[in-house]
Amino acid sequence: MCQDPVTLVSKDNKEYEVSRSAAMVSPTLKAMIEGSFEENKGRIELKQFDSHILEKVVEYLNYNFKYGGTNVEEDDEEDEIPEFDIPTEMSLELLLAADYLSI
Amino acid sequence: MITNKKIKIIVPEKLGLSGQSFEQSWKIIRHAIDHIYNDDMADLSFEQVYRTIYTIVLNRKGPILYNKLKTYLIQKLCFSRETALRNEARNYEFLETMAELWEKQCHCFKIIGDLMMYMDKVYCKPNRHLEVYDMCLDLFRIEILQRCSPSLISALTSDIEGIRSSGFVDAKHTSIWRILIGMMETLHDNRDNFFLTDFEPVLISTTEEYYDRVIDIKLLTPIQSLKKIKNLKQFENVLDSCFLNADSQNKLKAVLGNVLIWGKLINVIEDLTHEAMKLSDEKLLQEIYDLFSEEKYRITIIESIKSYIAQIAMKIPFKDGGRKKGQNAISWSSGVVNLFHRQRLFLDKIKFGFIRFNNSTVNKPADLAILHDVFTAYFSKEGPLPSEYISTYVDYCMKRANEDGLEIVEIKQDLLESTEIIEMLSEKDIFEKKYKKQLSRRLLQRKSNIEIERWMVRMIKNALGTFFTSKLEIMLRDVCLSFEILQAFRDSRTNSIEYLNFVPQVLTRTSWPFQSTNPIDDSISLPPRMSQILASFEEYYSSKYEERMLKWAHHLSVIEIGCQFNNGYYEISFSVYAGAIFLLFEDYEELTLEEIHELTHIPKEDVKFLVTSMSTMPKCKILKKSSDSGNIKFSVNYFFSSSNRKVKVPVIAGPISSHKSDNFARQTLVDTDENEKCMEINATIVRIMKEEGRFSHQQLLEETMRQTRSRFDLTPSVFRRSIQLLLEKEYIQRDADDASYYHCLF
Repeated sequence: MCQDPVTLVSKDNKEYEVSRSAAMVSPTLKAMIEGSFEENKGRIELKQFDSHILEKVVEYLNYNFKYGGTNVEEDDEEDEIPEFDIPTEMSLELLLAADYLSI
Repeated sequence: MITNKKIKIIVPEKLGLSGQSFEQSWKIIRHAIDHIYNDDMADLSFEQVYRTIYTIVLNRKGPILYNKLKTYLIQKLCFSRETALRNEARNYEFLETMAELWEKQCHCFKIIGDLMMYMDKVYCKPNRHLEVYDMCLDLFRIEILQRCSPSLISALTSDIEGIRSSGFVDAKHTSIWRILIGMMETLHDNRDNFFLTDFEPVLISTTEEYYDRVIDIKLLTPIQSLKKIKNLKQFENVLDSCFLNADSQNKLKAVLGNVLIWGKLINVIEDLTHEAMKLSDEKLLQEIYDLFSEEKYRITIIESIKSYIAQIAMKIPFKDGGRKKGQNAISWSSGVVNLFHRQRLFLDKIKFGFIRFNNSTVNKPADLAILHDVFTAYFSKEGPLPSEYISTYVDYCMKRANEDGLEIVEIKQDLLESTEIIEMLSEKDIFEKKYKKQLSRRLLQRKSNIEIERWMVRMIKNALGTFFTSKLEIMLRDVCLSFEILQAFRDSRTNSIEYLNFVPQVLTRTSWPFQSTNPIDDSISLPPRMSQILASFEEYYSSKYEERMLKWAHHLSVIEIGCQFNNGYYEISFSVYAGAIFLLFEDYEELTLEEIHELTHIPKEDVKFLVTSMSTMPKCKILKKSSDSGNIKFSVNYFFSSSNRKVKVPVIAGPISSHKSDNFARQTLVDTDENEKCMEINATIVRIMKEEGRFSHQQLLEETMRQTRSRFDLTPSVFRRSIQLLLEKEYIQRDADDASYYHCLF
């Protein structure tokens, strides 16, 4: 399987690139990428998410990929790992997104 | 919750696709499943289907979806079953179809499972339903596996047998098997997976039947059977490793062991082992041994090895009618020593691993333990004879050491080998006695090399312990000491009559195996030259060791006289008595028996015997007999001739007692043996009873046996005699209530 980055498309057609391995953090995305559906071409449309949410999601995927060797879902208490900043106003939307993507 | 004013409102209409009805959603899903089954998903949006399911689950329609999905999949599976498996394909094709079907279904299940991920998480797990993928597998099990399990199992087993009889591992077949077995291992009901519950038992029993059938050991020689079985076993192992997990492989290995080795080979294991032994093929033997990895089987092999060696041992002739006892002893012993040595070298190459022996030889390596067992059993069966024979053999080796041309090293090697045998003799006390006697003779007659004797005693000491050799050591010490004394004596008497070469041996009386001195030694009168020396030695000795008493034991001594006959000069060795008689003829031309008796004080009967042996035996006819008007007279036979310069007048150590009755002498010898044994048993019993106070007959017997085992084999009859004796002497007493118990009375 190629290592091309995966493109996530938001409601307003904004595209976000995320590395394949980072995308794999989400089991949902992983299934999409690895299956033989149209998504395996590397373009995943997540039309129900606003771009600012998707941006945050991508940020989290990268963050989790970088630090989350231990599969922690939210911020980790360990000193070296920086806090993942969640703006309060987005929290519910993010919660939904996280549920959807099972991250 | 969060009280911030800026809380964003959730956006349900966006995520939930609220506009769709369940029917519409289900259509999408069904459509997707159809595509999945057709392997045509390139145009299908995973995201769309996922979102649909997500919505359904969010709307709490999860249970409906779950059941709907289930029904639909059952339909799909039934369809597959009908189409793919309908035509009753034969074994291998059937297996192929089955494997293909399984892999296809698995693939689909996986994708469906992925699509239903959200439902798994939100609906199945909290409600304790099988996750979608597992549910699919379960459906597969019910709809397909259970329905065709008989045909699947029979097809699989018959295909395996086909490969077995072809003798060639076909990777195509085994990979199919592996897939199917993987399937069976994956699918499980509440108890265990299908493989364990349904297939493995069948596989094991068919394997068992197959191998039971495939080889008929009666038609093959043992070696052939071994080869065949080895090949079969190897093949099956390779085959198994291609499609089974380690657990089942081991199970099948055990089955094979049972069927082939235990079931078949065991019948010929003895022949086989014997064969290997006969060929001295250590590789073969090792192979046989390794084949039987279980201890109980190994013990059988070891028993076979033992029985083989025992058989050979039995073949060593014990008695060969035509020959003398001594020769028998030597040939038998060298046979035994040889056998022992050979088998030891042979068994040494076998790796026996760890084997528990049920007797006292635990701390020995297995090969030695085996030999030990065999020889011990063999010797104890033969009674005291082996002990005597071995001693005679040592005697023979020792005497050879004095001959020229034989390397001491070689002799030591022979002796070393025989010490190992000595250790295993059952009647060690007989050996000791015999050895003592022979050693004394060797020492007194200087037939052997004293260094080797010493070395040998050390070896025996190592083998049997100090207990056996203390007297032997004293004997050796006496001999050496005597030599020193002689040196000192000679130095002190420079003017002594030197042409008589006098060699005294001062012996510690208790350590030498002689009953006592001969009563006639006190009264005998020796030729003056001899008695002179004896007197002067006596004087010297008592001046040196005041408190000691010297007593001459002429019957042990040897005298050598050089004498010029008509045909040449001969050196004749005599017993002291015969020598004294012969020396009389220096002064007298002719003598009657009566006159000899008067001159020497040797009893008449003995005089007659000695003179007769000197005048009639063809080898040493140095006296001649002439009859003059009824008066029988003897004189020197100057016409004596012999091919050897050294002539020996045959003497037995104690001619006086031995000529009376050979049988009688033997009787007393055995008697004293028995007595000593008896005394030792008594002492042991008393020791035990002192410790225990009260003991049953059986316990006492066993304990006594254990304690005396190193010396001899205790027989119950001898033991009973001892008990009787002790009862009479009131050392012990029978229990008043239970006659089988004894009490200690002191």
